[in-house]
Amino acid sequence: MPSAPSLPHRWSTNDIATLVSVSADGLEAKLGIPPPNSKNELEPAAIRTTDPIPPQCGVFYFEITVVAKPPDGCVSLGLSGSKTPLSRLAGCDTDSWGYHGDDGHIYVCQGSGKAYGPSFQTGDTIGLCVNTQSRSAFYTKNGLAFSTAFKDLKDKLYPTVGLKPGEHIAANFGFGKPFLYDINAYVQNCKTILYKQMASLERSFKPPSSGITPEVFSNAMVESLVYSYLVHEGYGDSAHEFAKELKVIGAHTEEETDNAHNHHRQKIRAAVLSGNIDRAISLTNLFYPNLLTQNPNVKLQLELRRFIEIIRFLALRGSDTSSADANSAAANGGSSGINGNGKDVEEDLFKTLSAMGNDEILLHAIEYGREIEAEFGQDSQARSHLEQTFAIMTYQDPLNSVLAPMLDPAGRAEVAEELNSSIMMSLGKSKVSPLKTVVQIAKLASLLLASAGPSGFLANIDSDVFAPICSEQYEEEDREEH
Amino acid sequence: MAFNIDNEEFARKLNEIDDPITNYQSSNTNSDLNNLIINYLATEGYASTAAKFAEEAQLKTPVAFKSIKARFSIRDCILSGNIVGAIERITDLEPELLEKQPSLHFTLLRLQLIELIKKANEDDKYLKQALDFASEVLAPRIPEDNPSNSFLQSLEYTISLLCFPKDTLESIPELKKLLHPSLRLEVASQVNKAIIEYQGINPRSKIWDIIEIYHWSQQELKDLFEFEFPDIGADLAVPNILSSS
Repeated sequence: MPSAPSLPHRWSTNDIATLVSVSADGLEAKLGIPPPNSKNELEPAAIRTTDPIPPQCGVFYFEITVVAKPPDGCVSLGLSGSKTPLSRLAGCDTDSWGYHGDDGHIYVCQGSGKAYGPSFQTGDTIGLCVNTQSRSAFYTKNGLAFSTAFKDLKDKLYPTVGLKPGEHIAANFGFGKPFLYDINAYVQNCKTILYKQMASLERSFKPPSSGITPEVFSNAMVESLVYSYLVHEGYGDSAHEFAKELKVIGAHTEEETDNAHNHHRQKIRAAVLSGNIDRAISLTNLFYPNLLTQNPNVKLQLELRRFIEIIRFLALRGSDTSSADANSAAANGGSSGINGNGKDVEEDLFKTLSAMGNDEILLHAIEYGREIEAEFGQDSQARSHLEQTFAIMTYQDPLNSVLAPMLDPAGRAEVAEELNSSIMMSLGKSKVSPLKTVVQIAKLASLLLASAGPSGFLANIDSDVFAPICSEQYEEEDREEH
Repeated sequence: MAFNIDNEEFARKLNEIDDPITNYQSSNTNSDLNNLIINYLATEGYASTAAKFAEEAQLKTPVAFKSIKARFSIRDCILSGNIVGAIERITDLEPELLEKQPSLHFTLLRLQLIELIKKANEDDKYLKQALDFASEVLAPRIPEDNPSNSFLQSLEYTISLLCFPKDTLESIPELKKLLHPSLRLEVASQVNKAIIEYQGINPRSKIWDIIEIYHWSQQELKDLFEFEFPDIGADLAVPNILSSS
C-alpha cells in the first residue's frame, strides 16, 4: 500500500524573509517592522506550509485568525506553487492565488484583483477550502462560506499567507482544534453527490439471462451474497432460516448439498463462540483429523484463546458477583446447535475448570502456557503473539486492566473465523466468502482510486459503510415486537 | 498518470487489504461483516433469519429490529396476494401511515384490484366484485380537480386488464407486467421501505452501498488501469440461489 502523504500542517521556515518569525508549533507567523533608520522599505512577505495539499485528499480545509494587523495592513490568504517567490502577497505572482483583507478582492496570478467578499481585520477568522476533485476553492469568514473563488487550480499547491510588516496570524490546520466553519457538512454534501452519481450507475448491472427484471436480479444477487456468507461462515441455522424466508417470498432456494460439513462447521463455530475451546479442538480433530497439524497458525490461535479463556474463567470466578456467569458458561458449553446429529465429543473446558480450585487453575494456566511456548516459541511471529497474550498474567485483576479487551468474548469470533476458513480451504472451497471478496475488492478499488485521483477519498468503505453500522443504536430487547 | 495492474499484483494487494500488518488503514474482521448482514436482515425485514443470526453470531440487535415481525407478516400477506390482510396489519402497526402517504395506499389498493382481476380472469363471478372495487374504492381516490393525475392513468391501465383475453395479454408488455408475480415483490419492498422510513430508520441496507462503491470504482478504474474487475454475479461464484422455476 502507498503510504499516506503528509497534509499541510505547519508553516515552513525555509526561504522566509529575515523579519518573518514562525512560532515553535509552526502555526503562528508574524512579520516584524523594520527599524526606522533602516533603508528597507516596508516590504510584504509570504509564508507557505512545509507540505502541499495532496491531490488525492479530495477536500482540504484550514483557517487562519488575524491576531494583529495595522490599519493600513493587508493580510492575504491563498495558495501558491513550490517555486513562487515569497516576496509578494498571495495572488500577486505566477502560480499564486489569494484573497486580500484590505479590499476583499481575490487575485489570480496577477497584480490586479476582482471583487469577491468582505474585507477582514484583526480578530476575524478566514478559512480556505480546496476541493482537489473539482480543482476549485472557496473562502469562509468567521464560519460563513462564500461562493467559488478559484477554478482550474493546479495540483500540489501550498497554503500560503502574505503579510505586511506588523501583521500576525495564527493558523488552524485542523489537528485537534475545531474549525469555525462546518467543514464536515461540506464533505458530507460532496459525498452525497458522489453517492448519487454511484446510484445512477446501479442500472449498469449485467442483465440476467432469464426473463427476470434487472431490479429483481440485483436483489437476488444481494440475497445470494448474504446466503453464501451465512453458509460459508458456518451459520447453518441462520442460512436455513434465510432459505426458508426467501422461499416464503417466492424464491426457490437450493440449499447447499454438503449438509454434513455445514453442520460440522456450525458445531465447531458454536463451540469457539461459547469459549469452549476444548470442545472446538476435539470436534475439529474428530471431523477434520489432520487440519490442525496442517494449519499450525490456526492451532496456535486456538491454544492462545484457550489460555485466555482459562484466565477469563478464573477472573470471573474471582469476583463473587459474576461467578454465576462463569458457571453458566460452563453449563452452556457450546453444545447447542443441531441436536441428535451423529457424532459428538465429551471434552468441555468449562466443566474441567469448574472441577478445579483457583490455585489449581492458575498452575494449569502456567503449565499450559509453557506447553504452547515449547511448541511455537521458535517462530518469531508466533513468539510476539505469545508474549502479548501471556502479559495478561501480570495483572491481579485482568478484567479491569488495560488488557481487558483481550478477555472480551468478542475475540472468539476472529478465532472461529480463522478456523472456519481453514476448514473451507481443506474442503477445496474458497477461503473467504463472496461477500468478503466483494468488500475487499471495493476497498482495494477505492484505495487505488485514491492513489490515482481525489474521488477515491470521498468513497470510503470504512467510514461510510462500516462505521455507521457500528455506531447504530441498538434496540432494547423489550421494545422488540412479538 | 499511467497506472497498470495485473492479476498477480491485484491478488497480492487484495491479500494485504485485510492484513493489519501491511494495511495502515483499519482491516475489516468478520464482526464488521456480521454487522453488515444483520443490518441487511433487519432492514429488509427477514424476521426469523435476523433473530436466528443475532443468536448464532452473538450480535446485538440493531434498531431496525423494531417492528421486524410485523413487517415480515405484512410482506407475507402481500406476497401471497392477501392485500386486505396487509392493509389491516399496516394500520395496526402505524395507524396514520397510509393516510399520510396516499400514493402508497393507492399502490396497495391497485394491487388488490389486480388480484381481483386475476381471479375474475379465472372465474367470471369475481368480475362484478372487481368492477365494484374499482369504482367504489379506487375511483374516489382520484383527485377531481386533477383528472390527469397518475392515479387515474394507472387505474385505467389496470381496468383494461379485464378487457383483454388472457392469451392476448402476453403480447402487451405494459399489461403483462401488472400480472407478473414480481409486482407483489415490488410493492412488498415499497411498503417495507415506507414503514421503516416512517419509523425514522434508514430504509436502505448498507450492503447496497458496498455494491455501489464496487460498481462505481470499477467504472472509474477502467480508464486508469487496464484491468477488468471480477463481476459479482458471474465471476465471484456467488451460488445462484434463485433457480429458475
